[in-house]
Formats: sequence, C-alpha cells, structure tokens
Amino acid sequence: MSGSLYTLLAAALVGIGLHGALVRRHLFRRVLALNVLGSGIFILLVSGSAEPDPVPQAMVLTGIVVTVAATALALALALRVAVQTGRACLPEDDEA
Amino acid sequence: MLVVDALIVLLCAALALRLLHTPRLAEAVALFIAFGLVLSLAWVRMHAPDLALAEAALGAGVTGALFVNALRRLTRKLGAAADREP
Amino acid sequence: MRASPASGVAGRTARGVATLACAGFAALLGYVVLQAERADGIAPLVRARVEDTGVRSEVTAVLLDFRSYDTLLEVAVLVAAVIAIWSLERGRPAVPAVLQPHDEPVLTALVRTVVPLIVIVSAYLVWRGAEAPGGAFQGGALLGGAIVLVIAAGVVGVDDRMRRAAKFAVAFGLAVFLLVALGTLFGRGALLDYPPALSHALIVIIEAAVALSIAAVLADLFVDVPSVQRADGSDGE
Repeated sequence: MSGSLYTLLAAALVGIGLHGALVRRHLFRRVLALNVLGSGIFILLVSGSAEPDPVPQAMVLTGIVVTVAATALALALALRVAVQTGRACLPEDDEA
Repeated sequence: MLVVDALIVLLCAALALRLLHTPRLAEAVALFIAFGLVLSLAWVRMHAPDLALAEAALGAGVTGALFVNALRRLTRKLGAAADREP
Repeated sequence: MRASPASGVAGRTARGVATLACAGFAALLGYVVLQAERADGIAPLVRARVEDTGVRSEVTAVLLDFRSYDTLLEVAVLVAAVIAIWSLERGRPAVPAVLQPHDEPVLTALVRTVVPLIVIVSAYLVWRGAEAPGGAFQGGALLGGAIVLVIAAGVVGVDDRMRRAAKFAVAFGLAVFLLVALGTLFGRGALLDYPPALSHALIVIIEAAVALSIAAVLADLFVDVPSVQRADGSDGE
C-alpha cells in the first residue's frame, strides 16, 4: 500500500513538474520545475520494486548527481541570458 | 506508518505545487529546499538510505545553495524585481 | 513574434490545455505503473554475487563494480559540467583576485568547532560506504560544504595557489577512475574488471578520489569573489 502511495506521488510530481516547465516563464522557475519532474521520475523508479532493490537505487543515485551538475550548468546559462538580455525569460516568452 | 507515508506524500505534493506557483522566487527556492528534505524522508520510507543521504546533501543542500547563489546574482544584476515573474 | 502567448484569452486557453494535458498524463502514468507487477528485477542476481565485489553494501557494489562504467561516465559528466560553467564565467580576471580572510569572531569560533567534525563525518561516510549507506557522493558533498563554510566565514582566504589546487582536485577523481579503468583494460582485458583480491581496495580508493573531486567541484561552484574589488575596479561579473 505504501509503495502504491509513493507511486501516486511520483505520477503527481511528474505532472506538476511538467506543467511548471511548460507554463512558467522565469528561467529559474523552469529549472525548479525540471528538478521536481526529475524527482518524480526517481520515485517512480525506486517505488516500482517489490523489495529494496539496489539496482534502481544506484541508478537514481547517479541521476541525483547528474541532476545537480545539470542544474548548476542550467543556472549559469540562465544567468548569462539574464545578463545579456536584461530579462530572466526567453525572448519568445517575453511580453514586455 | 501509513499515516506517516500519507503525510509525506501530501507534503511533497503541496510543496511542489506551491513552489511552482508562488510569484516570489525567493519563496520558491526556500520551498524547494524543504521539498528536498521531505523527499529525503520519503526515501527512508522507501528503504533507500543511500538515496536519503544523497537527497539531503545534494538535492536539498547543494541544489538549494546553487539556487540561492544564482538568485542573489540575478537580483544584483537585474534589480530586486527580477525574482518575480517577468 | 511570440511563440507562446502569455496573456489574454489565447494565453489562458493555452495554459488550461497544458494543465489538462499534464493532469491527464500524470493520471495515465499513475494508472499504468500501478497496474504493472512489482517484480524482483535483478536484485537476486546482485545479492548472489555481491561477495565477489569485496564490499557489503549492495548499492555500492552495483555503483562501483557491477555498473562501474556508468559511475565513471557520471564523474566525467560532473567534470564536463564544471568546465562548461568555467567557460561561461566571463570575468575571471587576467589579474587574479585574492580573497582576504576577514575577522568575524562568532562565525570563526563556530566554524573552528564545527568544521573538524564535518571533515571527520564526511571521511567516515566515504569509508563506510562499502559496508553501509554512504559513499563518495554523500561524503564528498559534505566535505564540499565544509570547505565553502570555511571560506565564506572568512577564516581562510582564497588565492591563486588555492584556485590552481582546486582545479587539480576537480580532475583528480576522474583521473584516478580512468587510471584504474585503463589498468584493468590492459591488464585483464576487460574494462573495470577488478582483480578479485584487489576489488575492495580499488573501490575504496576510487571512492576517496571521487569524494575529493566532488568536494572541490562544490567549492569551485560556490566560492566567487563578489565583494572583492579586482585590480581594474570591477567585481568580476
């Protein structure tokens, strides 16, 4: 039962994160949304096994580390965009 | 134990929803750090202690600090209003 | 030319559609995954062969022996990301800036009490990763935090020598891992096929090196010098 509960949380986080990444315009918010999406997928991987399974856990550990690296790079890129254009969103989303 | 799981699941979902839809980014980042810590508890409940350690240290700690740092630089370059939705 | 209208009726409709689509997708995902059988996967296989790796923690065995190639690539990704971030930071001055230590008594006292404990705990986490939850990534992150704390509190300064040492440390973990990989490739014919007697030792060595690298990566990401005036009067950004 608990496993199913976490699987439901995973699906919800995937939906919430995806929605945030699509709809929100601030670049930092998009990075946050992608992190939430990623966390949802990690829970999906780990909660799908009958017993504590080291293989998906190792995969998710790798995933967490890579997500940190990607987030750092994404934020550095977003900062460059903000410094160059003066706005913290992509030009096609900017309505000012 | 089901109560604990239900609480963790609800808290995670609520934090995720709020952090993506609050207009203030500073609040969003703080909520994201909280989200990471509650997620760390969730990993413990899913019998994944390595992941709990990694989520607390890297997911909440390092990623949160990265966001705080980036937000500080952003408001310094673009002014205090940069942390609201454009 | 706007690709995504954000305001007005068109914007609200687009957002509504996105919300419905994401909610629908999440529901479908939940339904499909809940229907799927919970299987054992290859956990029994791992459990059967874990003694061959020389470590007791199954996750560490998977991470640094059975799937060590993935971990090698993961470390490479970390280093690549750091290099990409370096290349984005215009403003690394030709004249290097020196971050002077500054004196804040309360913060300094706190740091001097807490940081040695953090270093011990992080070393313990890395060492115990072979037997129990822990390992290079968790310990490395903790150590990185300690370094950032020490520098941010002004207890030590940052100069050229330290920056060069940090760059070397970032590459160190990947270098050690690659050395072991190439050594096993040419020595035993298969990449990362540890000789059984040395398996535990090699895993611990790789973990220690990777932990140091991760600590250096974190320190590099966070230690900028925003409050220091460089020689040309700019603050580096």
